[in-house]
Amino acid sequence: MRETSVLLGDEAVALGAIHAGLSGVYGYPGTPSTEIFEAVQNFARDSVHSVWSTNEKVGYEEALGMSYAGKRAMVTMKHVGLNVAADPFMNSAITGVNGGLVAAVADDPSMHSSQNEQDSRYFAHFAMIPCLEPGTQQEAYDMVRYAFELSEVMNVPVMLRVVTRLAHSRANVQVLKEHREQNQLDPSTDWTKWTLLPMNARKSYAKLVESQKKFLEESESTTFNTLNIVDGAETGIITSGIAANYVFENIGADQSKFSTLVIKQYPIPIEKLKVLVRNVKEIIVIEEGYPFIEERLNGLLGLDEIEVRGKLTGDLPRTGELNPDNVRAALRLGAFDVLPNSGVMAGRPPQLCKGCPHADTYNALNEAIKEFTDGRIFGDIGCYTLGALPPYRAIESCVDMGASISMANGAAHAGVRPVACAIGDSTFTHSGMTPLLDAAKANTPITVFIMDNSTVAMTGGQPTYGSGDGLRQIVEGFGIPTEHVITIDPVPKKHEENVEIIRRELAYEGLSVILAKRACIEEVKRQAKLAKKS
Amino acid sequence: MQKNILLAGVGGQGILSQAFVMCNAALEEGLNFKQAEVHGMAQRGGAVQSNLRISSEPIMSDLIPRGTCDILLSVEPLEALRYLDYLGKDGTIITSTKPFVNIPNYPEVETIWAEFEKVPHVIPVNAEILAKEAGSPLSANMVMLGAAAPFLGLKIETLENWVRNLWSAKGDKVAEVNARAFHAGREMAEFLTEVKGHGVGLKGIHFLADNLNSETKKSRSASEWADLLRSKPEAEWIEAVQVVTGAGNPT
Repeated sequence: MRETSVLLGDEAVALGAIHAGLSGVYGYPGTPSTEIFEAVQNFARDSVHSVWSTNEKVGYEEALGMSYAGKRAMVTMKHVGLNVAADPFMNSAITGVNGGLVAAVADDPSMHSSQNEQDSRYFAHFAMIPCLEPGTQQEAYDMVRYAFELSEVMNVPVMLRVVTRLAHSRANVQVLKEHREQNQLDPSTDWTKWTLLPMNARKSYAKLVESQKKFLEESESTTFNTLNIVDGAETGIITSGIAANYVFENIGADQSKFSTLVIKQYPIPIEKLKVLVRNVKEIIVIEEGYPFIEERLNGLLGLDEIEVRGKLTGDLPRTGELNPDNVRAALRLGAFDVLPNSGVMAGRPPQLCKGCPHADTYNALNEAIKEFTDGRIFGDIGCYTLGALPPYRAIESCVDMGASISMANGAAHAGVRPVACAIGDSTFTHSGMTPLLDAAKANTPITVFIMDNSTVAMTGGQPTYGSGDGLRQIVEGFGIPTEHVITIDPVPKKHEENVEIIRRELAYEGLSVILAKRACIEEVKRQAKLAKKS
Repeated sequence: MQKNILLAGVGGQGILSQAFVMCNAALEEGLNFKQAEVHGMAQRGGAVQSNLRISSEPIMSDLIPRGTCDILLSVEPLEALRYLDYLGKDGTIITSTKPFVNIPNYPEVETIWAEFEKVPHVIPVNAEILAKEAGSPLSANMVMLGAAAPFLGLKIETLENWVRNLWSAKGDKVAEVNARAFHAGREMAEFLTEVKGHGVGLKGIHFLADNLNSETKKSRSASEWADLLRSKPEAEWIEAVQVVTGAGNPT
């Protein structure tokens, strides 16, 4: 029995997991995955463990610990978050699982709010585990339950891959009224499975290699992969996940010209693929992300006697997300009449909010550093990354979580002076503590600005674990002399005083940490709202 | 039944609340819908949009194909222009007239309205006037939703019901203000559509949108307003309105 619910793709994943007997969700905020975690919190606060972790690696390991104990766990992250969690992710395929483990990863084609548009299917392929790729909110809900079952039967973590346009799109979903109970506590008793000494790991890895046959059989028989051969159709379309929506948007009215293979479960079903290839004269591969299926299909030498069109041939754009328009063009269907773009236009990029503490910090830092001839400020990931844009033009880099401090270390080793870096309080506990320890041990001459606004702001205001006094204790715990751990108040009226402090620390040939401490104005509003409610 | 609706505005102007009302209204009427939005970076004073598709048939793409948008509903005029290439040839733009200037190179307002002249169906609404009238400037997004209501293919009662539900957590007073805003927008859009039907061009209806409110528009019938605008040069319109409404500036 089912009932109707209005759900974002992300919410559908969350609800599907809860209804499948989830005991714990783990993760770190990252657009477009954040809402999966928050939906579990909103829907099942009292029955499912849902506390944000300091980073994705830790979150993944915590989920693995819950799986070890026999219960179902899900870990959520954005695509680059999987880079952070890669170590436990790869090895969890070898240890296997006890309670089902699902890694719900949200990719961001077109990098709407990311540093790249990497395709997580490669990671599933690399780890040699099954991957499910829903195209609709309904599929996202239904596939999670199956993912947990598959995980427990096959003894591997299972990846569920969504993209921004599904994660942040809402639709009516039929959800189950009957829900599966959570697993009982049942910790594993097999130390050889979980302890990857070479003598154990070699055996487990060989088993994983053997299991590939079973994963492929599952992909061949699953209803999530659908082959439709149309007699006389000369063109075959291979499509996957959300890309299938754009294909059927365009050919839905008249499917007589195309045979189709829709892939929503990996590994790629080779037998179904062979049938398609035998029945058509040309193939077009339409997939969201990198040309994963297309590359595999072509191998290194391409197919004899059959043309394969897709991202590698320029039929689809190699970069950026798919949409119904570029898919229509690839299918060589006539374009719709469109009005020309407006001749009058101006970009409206995101900016720091009026009253943001980062603005004051950057203003003081910019003024202090311009007195030196060739200083550099390395940046990191958060709202403060917007300091790279006018009017601040304060930071020179943003590469990955925590890179601000590490790159500052390297630049200082090379001889750059002065070197500063800007990192948020949550980014700091995510990945900034380790390079700060390097700097503390060597007294590397850098000035580290920890932009402590008491929240994880860019992703909507999740809790931070290193703020205020707690942050100061962590920093001092690294053994940095207290006269070089300075708290400043980033407000306009303290501007001159702050410039003076920064100038002094930039000139100092040793490590300084400046804690720029003022709450995010949106966080202040949120707290006020919560206070009113209670 | 099928409607492709593109919602546009600046982060913080409340387009997701508009989407909430329309999605739930569609659901209540037994229709399918898909509504795509982008979170995160867009919030901070940046351009935001949402693709909303409603249909009696199953919907495939979450994104609206270019050239098939039926309604481009914008709470900010420049943002409406941003998506011109999505509009179908019979599509309608419903836009607020009030610019939100938070960038240094915001175009001259006259050039924006010159672009709108190229589009066959444009309904401008001064959401600021009507929102204040309803009881809160924050209800401007509901004014604009109301302005789009006659074109959505959904029942007005269903939409109003969901406007109330959206604000129910904040109490009856707030829900009432927003329901008033919704109807003010709807009536103004209906009125302006009628005036347009009597042969008044965009300049004329833009002028009326910026110079009339819910009460003063009732001083004459739509065809009388049309006659008035057509019989006088543009330079004399403001005086003519003041004479008719017997008042100063309605704002």
